Amino acid sequence: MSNWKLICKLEDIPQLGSRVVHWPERGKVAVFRSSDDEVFAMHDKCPHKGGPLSQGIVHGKRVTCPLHGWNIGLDDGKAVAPDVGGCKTFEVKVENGEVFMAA
Amino acid sequence: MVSGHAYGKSIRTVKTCVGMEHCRFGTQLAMSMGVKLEKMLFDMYAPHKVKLAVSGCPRNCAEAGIKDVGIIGVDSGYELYIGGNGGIKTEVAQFLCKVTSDEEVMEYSGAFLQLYRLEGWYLERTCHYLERVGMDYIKGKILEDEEGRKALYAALLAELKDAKDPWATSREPQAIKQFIPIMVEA
Amino acid sequence: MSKPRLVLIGNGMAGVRTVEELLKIKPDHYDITIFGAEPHPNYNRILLSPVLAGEMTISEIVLNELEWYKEKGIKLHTGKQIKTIDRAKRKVIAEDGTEEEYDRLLIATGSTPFMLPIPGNDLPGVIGYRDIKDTDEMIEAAKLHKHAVVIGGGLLGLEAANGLKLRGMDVTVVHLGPWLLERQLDEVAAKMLQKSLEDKGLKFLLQKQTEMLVQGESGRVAAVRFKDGMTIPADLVVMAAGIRPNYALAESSGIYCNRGIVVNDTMQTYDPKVYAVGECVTHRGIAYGLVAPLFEQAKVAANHLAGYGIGRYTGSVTSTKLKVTGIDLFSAGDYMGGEGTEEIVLNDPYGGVYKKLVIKDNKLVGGVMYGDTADGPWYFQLLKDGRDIHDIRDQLIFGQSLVGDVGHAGNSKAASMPDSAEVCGCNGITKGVIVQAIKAKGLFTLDEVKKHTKAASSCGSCAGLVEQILASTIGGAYTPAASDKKPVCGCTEQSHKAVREAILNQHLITKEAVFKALEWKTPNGCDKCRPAVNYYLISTWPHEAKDDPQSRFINERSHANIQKDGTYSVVPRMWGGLTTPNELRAIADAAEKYNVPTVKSPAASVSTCSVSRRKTCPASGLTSTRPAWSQAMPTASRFAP
Repeated sequence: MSNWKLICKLEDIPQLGSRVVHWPERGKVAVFRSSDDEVFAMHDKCPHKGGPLSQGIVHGKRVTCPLHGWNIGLDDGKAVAPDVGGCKTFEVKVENGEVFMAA
Repeated sequence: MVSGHAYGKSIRTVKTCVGMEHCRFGTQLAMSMGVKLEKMLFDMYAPHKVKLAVSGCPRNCAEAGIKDVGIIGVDSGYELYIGGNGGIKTEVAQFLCKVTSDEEVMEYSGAFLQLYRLEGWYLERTCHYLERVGMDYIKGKILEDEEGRKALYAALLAELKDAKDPWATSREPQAIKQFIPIMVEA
Repeated sequence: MSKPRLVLIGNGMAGVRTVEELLKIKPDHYDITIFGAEPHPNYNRILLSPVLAGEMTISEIVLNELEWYKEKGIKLHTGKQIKTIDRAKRKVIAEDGTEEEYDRLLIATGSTPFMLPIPGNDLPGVIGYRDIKDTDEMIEAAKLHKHAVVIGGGLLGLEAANGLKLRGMDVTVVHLGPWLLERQLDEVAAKMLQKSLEDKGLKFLLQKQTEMLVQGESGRVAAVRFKDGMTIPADLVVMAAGIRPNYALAESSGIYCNRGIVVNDTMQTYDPKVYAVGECVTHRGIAYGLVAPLFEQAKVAANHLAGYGIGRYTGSVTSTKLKVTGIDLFSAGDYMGGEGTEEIVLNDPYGGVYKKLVIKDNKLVGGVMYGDTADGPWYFQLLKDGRDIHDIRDQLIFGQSLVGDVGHAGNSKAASMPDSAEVCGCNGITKGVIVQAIKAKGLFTLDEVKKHTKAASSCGSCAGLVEQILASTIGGAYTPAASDKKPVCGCTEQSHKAVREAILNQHLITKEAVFKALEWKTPNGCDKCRPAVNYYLISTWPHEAKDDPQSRFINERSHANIQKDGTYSVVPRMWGGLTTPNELRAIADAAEKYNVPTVKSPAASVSTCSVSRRKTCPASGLTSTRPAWSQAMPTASRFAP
């Protein structure tokens, strides 16, 4: 199936925080870690004005963009209503404490 | 140079005029008073940003009338104003009291700000806090209750005694890592 | 095991609101069945007046579409009136024989218009004003007939009269009291109102007692005759002389009623399995006819139905707003004053502005405003908060010191503003957009309006005006919470005050402990409550609570200011605004090293110096969107002279 690429260790991402991954063909991808250690990835670009979502506050399965406070769902990349728009998400998995992203 | 805290719920640069140090109208040393206050409040965490100004005379070149704490020098001492705001809605600061010494300026300002730190709601500026609790309440706590004022002031100083520059490399080295991008090879 | 069953009698605003609140806090607790006597899904009864006035359509005022019931798994019976409540067998029986059993019953049967007990009150053409059917009938009558008489000069009566006038009828309002809206206005304001309504073409007969309604040759009503012998023509008579709670059904099942279904502070009736909310209820002797209190009741009832057992309804202070386009009118609390009260009055009859504030023991207890109502919500908030106003007394009557004048071109009269007028300067939102959203999406609170339109969501200076538009659009449905009771955010019902107190009194030192102790609804809060909780923890327990960087806004975490393109600016401190040649040189060196094109000293009021960083750090091999902090530190060290 997919070709997985090692990104980092799970502990390299703070809980309720994120890291930015520079992926040549994808540009900047934000990788988020929730409080229960689920990991999500999407373009580091808010659908509103392009704000860096990686710098936002993570809560539950959402991140709040630091520029104008839009909430984006971590699992689907969609803006939370009533805002509309979305970010491309990428498949990620955690195995033995290491984070992989689908190539 | 240390952090100017322009980003946080913290003390901004204290605006000063050139004061008695240089000005032909100056009645008090505004610049040194300002620096003293700023050093005292360095790294203070508050419900919202806190702005101060010190003017050396009632011409008020430092615009102390629209600051969270505004200090205006007069011949016989300083007038203290609180709860001003120059933001979305201009709010003129209200007269709190007149004091005679630099030490009193520090004590009264510090006590008021500590009260605000303990009772203000997050993102509530001093003008909103003041509107909510009323000037009489503040006067009761700061002017009429000497012991209470001194306790508030002492608590503030105790909390700020270990203030550190957030830009110093020694502070939170762990936290830096999250900002370093991870490079993935093509 | 199957779920307990909840049956709701009454598919109206109070009942359905209770169900909505319940689903919000405990979604899967009950199997829910709703009976409605009308054939429609839940609609916004308050907006029937705009429908009558031709400003809205029925479909626009539906609050819960049929799909909503389906989606929530609610069994809906429309057009079915309940005939019997069998409390022994715990079931309800509809007129057509439909039966449903319940474990908990919620009664929200509303009220009916009071029909004056006079001869002719059952003639064709004589109606109350309550529901879609009545509204349709009035609209039809306006097409065929000329003369309308509205009996009752209260809110509903005036709105009906205004609507019928706009539909082309010749309308006379008959009122028994000495002035219009005597339950909302004092005489001065009422006279001003009457004058503007007369300018719109309405006629008024005050202090007139109706004796009988006269039948015409067609069998339909033809005239109204008064006690003093006067007679006026009428092809349509609308009775708007008050409402009566619908409690006959409850009473016949043996539930204790006294001019309404009697409930306690948890909205429970004398039968512990039966709750009641809305206009059919009397609580502490008061039956409310406005929507705002009903929503407060709904919240409490939902909480108890969910089994949480917290929250009490202790009565409401109400405010009212007349929904007649172009007329600004606001009243709240004890607007008449009297013994033991003082009044502050501003009266400008020529300018069409009248304000009266009633003060008791240094607190605002009521007020009436006509013409300029921009400060209505502010006064109402002061009133609900019970704030001591004596230190602002000298300015009180002038309002929240010109609060309405920032960012929206001085517009302060919500109802008279044209739809094209800009309300929120920050986000470029016009009045029309706000009104449309309120109507189309069924918004009831300032927060909802903010979320859906963005109005008042940036600088907030137009919040008062937006509240005013909200109030004038939905009338009595609008109610602000007392400010020390406003929830911190959607994650909790707790207020800032309650959170602070809990942290102090229960010695909580982590956010997890706070969320647990105060039963947060979300696992780790949100961007609104987390920074607040983090601050409260640290300021309350300075050397115990640990800072949580992930609860800080990015600027505080990176110790720099994020700019619109995701780059950061850094501001080194210049104590008291003073600097030295050495420091300036350090800044210049750092700026050159990182190719910073602009060095700015920010807002004069701060008189400090900032180094703006642009996308220009190739030499360091670092990228521009990386927060400056990691660079600010080497940079900052370079700032050290």
